[in-house]
Amino acid sequence: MRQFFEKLLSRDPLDTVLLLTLLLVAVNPGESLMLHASIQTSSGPLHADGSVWLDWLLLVSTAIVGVSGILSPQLRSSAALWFTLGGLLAVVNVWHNWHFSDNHKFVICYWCFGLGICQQLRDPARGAAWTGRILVGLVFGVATLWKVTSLGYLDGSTFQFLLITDERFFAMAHALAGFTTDMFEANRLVLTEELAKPTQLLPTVQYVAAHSLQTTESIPALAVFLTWWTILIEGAIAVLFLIDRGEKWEKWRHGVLLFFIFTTYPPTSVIKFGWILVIMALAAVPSEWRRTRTAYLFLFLYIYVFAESFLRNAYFSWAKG
Amino acid sequence: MLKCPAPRLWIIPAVLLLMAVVQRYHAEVTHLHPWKGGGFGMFAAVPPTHLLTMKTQDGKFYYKTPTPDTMRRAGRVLSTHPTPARCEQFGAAILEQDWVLIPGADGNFPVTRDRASAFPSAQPVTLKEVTLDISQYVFDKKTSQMRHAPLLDSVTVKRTN
Repeated sequence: MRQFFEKLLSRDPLDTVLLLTLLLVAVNPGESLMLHASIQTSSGPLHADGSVWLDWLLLVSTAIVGVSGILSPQLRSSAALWFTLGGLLAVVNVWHNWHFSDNHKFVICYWCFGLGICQQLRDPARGAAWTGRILVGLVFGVATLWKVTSLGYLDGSTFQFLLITDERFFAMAHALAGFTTDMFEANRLVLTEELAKPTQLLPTVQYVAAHSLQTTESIPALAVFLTWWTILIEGAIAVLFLIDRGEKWEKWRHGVLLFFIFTTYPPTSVIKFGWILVIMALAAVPSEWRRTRTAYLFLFLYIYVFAESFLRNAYFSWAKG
Repeated sequence: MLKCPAPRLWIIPAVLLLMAVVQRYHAEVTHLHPWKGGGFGMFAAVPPTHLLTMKTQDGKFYYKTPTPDTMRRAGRVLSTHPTPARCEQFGAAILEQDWVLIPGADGNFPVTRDRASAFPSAQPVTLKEVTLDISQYVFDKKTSQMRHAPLLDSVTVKRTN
């Protein structure tokens, strides 16, 4: 393992960033294609309207361009490859699937265009460092702004709801607020079955139904803590990345982001968002900071291994007792 | 201090901010799902549960109406970002489908012909109008209840020919 990281660290830092980005781009369409093939609703496939061929065409093209870049160092250092990838991702995620695309798909698209511009500069590594830093800062800045201006967030409703209905927060709700598996499953049943019965609601839609979700006495307090903790840490990351005040500041910047990613993305299985943040932050790390670069590279692997392996199952089994 | 190495690099953060502003506008004003659309509103609001209910009329009777298979994607767009204009388009497309009536527990109801293979004698029906209701469930943290409320005014689309 040590040799593996030594080898990675001895590579050109920018090339490592480019390779990881291409890996992310090449993996992403594969997953999307599988999703297209498997999305079924109670009354048939979701994409049975003929538009799916465009998604397939674009996603296969993206995967081919991504794999070509991984195989060819010359290709991945060309601006054309990154603009092509950015363009394909923009068509798939921003234009064709704007209503469905998760945030990380937009960020990957911006990052690819940014790398394209960087490859046209005399010092692409410096350009990528600036772009990565600004994008990480803005992602967290905009997310924090969204939260502090959302009444449903500030009053604790959002986390209260997520803690009692979202599997990603179950372990925390169970360990810290005594929320049980039975309660969680009863709530999921309400959300997936009871609320999905529109025919019950006819003929009038005026407050004809109110479904109770199960909770515990400690959930509201935990929700308030998470609400303000999230604002604090996301806001801090935004400030640390958007403002530049020398080396000590820079150490705090990466330290806080590493802590946030380590504690947030693996248990919640948010792999792609975690990966793109790691990649952009890695681009912003000075090449001589080997330990910080090692930490990001380790995190890149750890996010995937944790989310996709027995570790996550063990974590949830432990949480469920 | 790491200065911007080339002014054209500012295009990237500018596009991110523009998309975020557009997304926030749509989330606040036109009922876009706050978690979608590239504005980083994930975990910033309770994810809304939007419901589309439809009833169609053949001139005499009203029927509860399912979304046809071929319109699943459009149905998902409608529930993620419901607007009156999108409801009207969706309703017009519903009326253009090839419907038949099949028997159900609560009386006859329409399905598109491609889903009625188990009912060879199903009678074709010309739907004259469709009414769409978009509603949502709102989480009330004080009572821990999901309350059902209308999101948009009902939209009724009539066949023109």
